Amino acid sequence: MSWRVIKSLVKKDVIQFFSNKFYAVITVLGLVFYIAIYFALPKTIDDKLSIGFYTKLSMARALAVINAQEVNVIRANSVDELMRMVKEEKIVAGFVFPDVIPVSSQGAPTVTVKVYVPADMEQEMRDAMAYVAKELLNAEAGYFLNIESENEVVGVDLAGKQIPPSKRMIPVFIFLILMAETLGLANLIAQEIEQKTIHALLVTPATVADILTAKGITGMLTSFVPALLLTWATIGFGHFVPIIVLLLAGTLFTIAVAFLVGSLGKDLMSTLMWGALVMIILLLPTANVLAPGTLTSWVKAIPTYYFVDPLHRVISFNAGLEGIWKGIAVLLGSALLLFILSNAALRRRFQ
Amino acid sequence: MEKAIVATDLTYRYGNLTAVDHISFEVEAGEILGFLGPNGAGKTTTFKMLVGLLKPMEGTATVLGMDVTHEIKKIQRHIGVCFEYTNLYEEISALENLKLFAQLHGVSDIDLYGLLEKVGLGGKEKDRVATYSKGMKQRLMIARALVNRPKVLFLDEPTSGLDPVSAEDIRSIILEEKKRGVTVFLTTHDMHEADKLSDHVAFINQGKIVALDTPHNLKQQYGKRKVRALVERGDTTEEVEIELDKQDTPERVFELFKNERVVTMHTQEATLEDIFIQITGRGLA
Repeated sequence: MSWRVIKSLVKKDVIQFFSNKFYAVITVLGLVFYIAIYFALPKTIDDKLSIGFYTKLSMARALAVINAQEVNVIRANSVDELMRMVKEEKIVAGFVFPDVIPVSSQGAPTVTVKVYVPADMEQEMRDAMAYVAKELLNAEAGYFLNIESENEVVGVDLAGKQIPPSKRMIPVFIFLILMAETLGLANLIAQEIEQKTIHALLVTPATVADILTAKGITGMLTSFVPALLLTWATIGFGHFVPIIVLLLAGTLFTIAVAFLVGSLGKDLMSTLMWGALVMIILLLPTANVLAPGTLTSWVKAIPTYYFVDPLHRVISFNAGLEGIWKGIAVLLGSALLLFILSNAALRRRFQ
Repeated sequence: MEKAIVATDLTYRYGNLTAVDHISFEVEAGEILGFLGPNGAGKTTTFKMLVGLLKPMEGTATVLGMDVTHEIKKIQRHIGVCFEYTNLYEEISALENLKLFAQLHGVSDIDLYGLLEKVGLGGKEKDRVATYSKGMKQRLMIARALVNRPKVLFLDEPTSGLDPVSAEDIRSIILEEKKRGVTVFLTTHDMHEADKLSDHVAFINQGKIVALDTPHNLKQQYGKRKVRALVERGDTTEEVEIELDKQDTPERVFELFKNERVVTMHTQEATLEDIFIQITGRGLA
């Protein structure tokens, strides 16, 4: 082995690698992209925890104690408002304290605190919130009370039920099938451009709309059918309507993604690389299904959250269309936006 | 005679570069127009505007009486297009390629085996196109252009890079189609091909048509007739050229035979390339 030869070859390879503008751009873009994702992700849990409570007590002593901590405390005007704040994720938990604290005479008097938690909060976190509620009430009383806490989940309890891993994985598998087919379809589009067969098509009576529709139908067949078969093979024919509607919406979204990736890619490799960039983002919401509560609310900015989360709710919690329609609407809206973008990009590239 | 193609002030620009600059020409139905010019002259851009892949930025063009900007999908039912580059579906067979394009054109009564036989691909119909040689692929491209029995054929450098046998076969197919009454718009930078096939030749240079006539008229107008003699001088032979239309031509021919040992002598006609160089000051390469 000659280091001189190896050095020359490495130099040549690096120059060759970066002489291909695409790989140079994708390397730099990937670097910037991943660094940006890293800084966008929460480093720990939220810097300041927000909790809420409702009671007629002043809670002055409790607030004096808690204000020394890194905690935001919000007083709700009613139990309904407290529940709404939990549902809208303005607070991580809401406590309903008694309106009167019993006086200590013989032993610690018994009181009940209700703790409202969001649907996807882990059991350990729920226990911690109950502990915080008890400590606050003790601080307000100035002596130890015998406190019983009642946890109540706002919405469908995603963390409370024991779901077997096999069932929990189904939405992830379905999503992965759709994503794999997305890459296949994107490559089909990129090939049409790369091999210039698109020109041969465009000089026949076929229009751009015909070609895109055909690609969309191909995408439907290659994505929807396997995803449906997987669903039926694993969970049977239950939840027929919500499953069909969700899979259709999910397939439309992934076809739109495929169109966009296909419009960016020049060949198989570049399609795979663009696809990987997009997929990393789109895959993140599946983590929330596997381990609820591990990702905070920013994950809801990713459209695929509105596919995997409703699918998980349907499969594991028997949610119906009425419980998931908002998610489907977001998914379809995102698909429409992507279709508009990719349609413009593809029309330009077809020319 | 009916006009199959009419271009008027056709213009196309890529940014600041005017690739096609207000060109006008007409092609009679049933004739072959050779569109001759060097690489980058504007041949393919004109071709793309006529087949509907680019929209003219200025001017108009009609094919079979229909406007290329507004009625291109109607036009495309009646035209066949063969590109300079190979753009076939290589993972499927030749037959499947033709079936697809026949279906796109709504043609169901064409004998695809016969068509493949005609272009010399008989017996290879079911082979994957990826296994074909360049010559075979080009033949298949021609077959694809013929799948809808077109009235106008647009051929962009159809013999470029082919071996002489394949190139000659393709020229025969083009002449056969002309006999059938098909109009052919043929872009090429091969002067011999243009000369052999074309009824009219248009010279395009830097986006402009600099000459348009029959090859014969162009040669008459611009060419110089001459004789070329091979004479023996000692141990070597040398070429001597004498122009035929000069005043001293008879004396020069007489002197040649008197003073030299003439091995061979031929009359020479100007080639289209000679004329192109004469008109534009540049070659066709």
